[in-house]
Amino acid sequence: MNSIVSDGVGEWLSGTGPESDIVMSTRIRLARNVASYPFLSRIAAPRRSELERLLKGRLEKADFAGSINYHNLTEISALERQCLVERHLISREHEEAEGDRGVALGADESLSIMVNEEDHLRLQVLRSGFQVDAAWEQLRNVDDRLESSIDYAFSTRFGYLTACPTNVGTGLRVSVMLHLPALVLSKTIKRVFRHITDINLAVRGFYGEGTQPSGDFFQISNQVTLGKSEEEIIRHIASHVPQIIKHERIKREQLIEKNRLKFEDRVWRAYGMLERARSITSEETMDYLSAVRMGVHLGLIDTIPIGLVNEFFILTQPAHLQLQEDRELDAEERNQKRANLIRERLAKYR
Amino acid sequence: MICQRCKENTATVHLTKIEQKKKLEFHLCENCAEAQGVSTANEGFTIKNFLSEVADPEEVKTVIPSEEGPPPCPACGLSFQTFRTTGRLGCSDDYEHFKVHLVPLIEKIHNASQHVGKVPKRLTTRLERLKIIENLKREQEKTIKDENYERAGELRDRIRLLEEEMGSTS
Repeated sequence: MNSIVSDGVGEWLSGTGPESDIVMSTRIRLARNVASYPFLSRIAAPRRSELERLLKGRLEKADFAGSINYHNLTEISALERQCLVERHLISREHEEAEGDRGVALGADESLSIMVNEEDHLRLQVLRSGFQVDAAWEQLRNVDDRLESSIDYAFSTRFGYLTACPTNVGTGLRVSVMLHLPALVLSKTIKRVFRHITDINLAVRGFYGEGTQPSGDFFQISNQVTLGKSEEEIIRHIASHVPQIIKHERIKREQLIEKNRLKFEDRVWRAYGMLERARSITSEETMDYLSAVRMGVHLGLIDTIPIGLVNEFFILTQPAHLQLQEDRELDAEERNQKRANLIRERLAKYR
Repeated sequence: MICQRCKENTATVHLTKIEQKKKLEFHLCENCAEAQGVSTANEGFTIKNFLSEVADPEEVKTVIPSEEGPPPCPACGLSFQTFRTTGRLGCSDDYEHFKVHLVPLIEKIHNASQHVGKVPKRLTTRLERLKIIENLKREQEKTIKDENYERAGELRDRIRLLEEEMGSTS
């Protein structure tokens, strides 16, 4: 591949963080705007470009731990932009938008900063496993460094001012991505969701707002951003995640106890399909990978590293497959390419 | 439409109440709405408190601006109607310009309208910090009155932190 989308995937897919059998990743973001510029919906193109250049300069000069690379999204291909979406580094809206906008990426892709998205700045830290405190620590540092050179739009009453009032105040969104195959299989997931919405948290799919759940992944995030401090918001969500983890673990044990053979058969069939298929759809892949991921964490499959399984979730997405070929592929070509990629990589572990 | 309370100014805050299947409407100007508690100076205000004075909050269906709506923001030109359709504000001044109309919406989303989190170190003057602390203290008094001691404790810690930060920078 090329320099913008690195060959290796981000740290968040390494499967090394705490509770990573169930928590795929922890993401925290802050929405920020520059005081003297209109929000993006009312900004004229020349001012938008001026702002993009200004923020690029500030980001490149800021003293972050580790280096960052800045890219203007109008200067890279649509395929590369889509890869960034598939890696959870920019939003779908940011990819599709027009006009000067950009993204700054940290070396291990744990830090990404969108410029001129819905807000002037969207600062994001993405970490493997359940790491709210470490992620917040890193993000707060980034924010502190930036605010020494940028005048943020801020009011003593409403806090950090954002384009949408749903983000005003702290501008903070914490999203914990959970892998819950046993709760889905045992059909108890709806009950869990009801509980989550009752405590004022939101549930979203693999690619965030408005996306379908896929591969049994669900993102839990806060709704409220005003009237509570960042730490309170983080504590609220962090205090409920362990219960969900516990439920999922209990359900996994129950499924095995109830019918071990059936459970193992499900995992191994999925593995067999991935190992042998010659053409495989994205949907099938997500389903099989989900079963295999659970199988690896339960010790049923001990020949492949979990990082490999996690990487497949991203590397088998359409834009990643097409970027490897450096051209657009139709659906059937993608299915074949996807099957080849998985088969070849798994063969190394046979 | 003229304000029902002062009978002088144009009514821009409209409330609809359904009582025994009968629709009751209240039309107030911004000043009278403020006098009833929708005050920019009265940080302790919540839309629920305000509504309980004029109507039962459970039965209030809508808090809507009048058809003409408030004038567009002089800074970015955004009209409140456009905001209602897009859900996006045009500039940071909109929060002040459309305050009377935004506060009920913000309260509905966040169940609060006073920021208690992080404060930019660089741009807050001593005066602004004092104002935040004052706001938080008012919020704290309210939570004590409501016997929400856990929340009051959290606010106390927050106030202490801000006061310490001020001490170290002044």
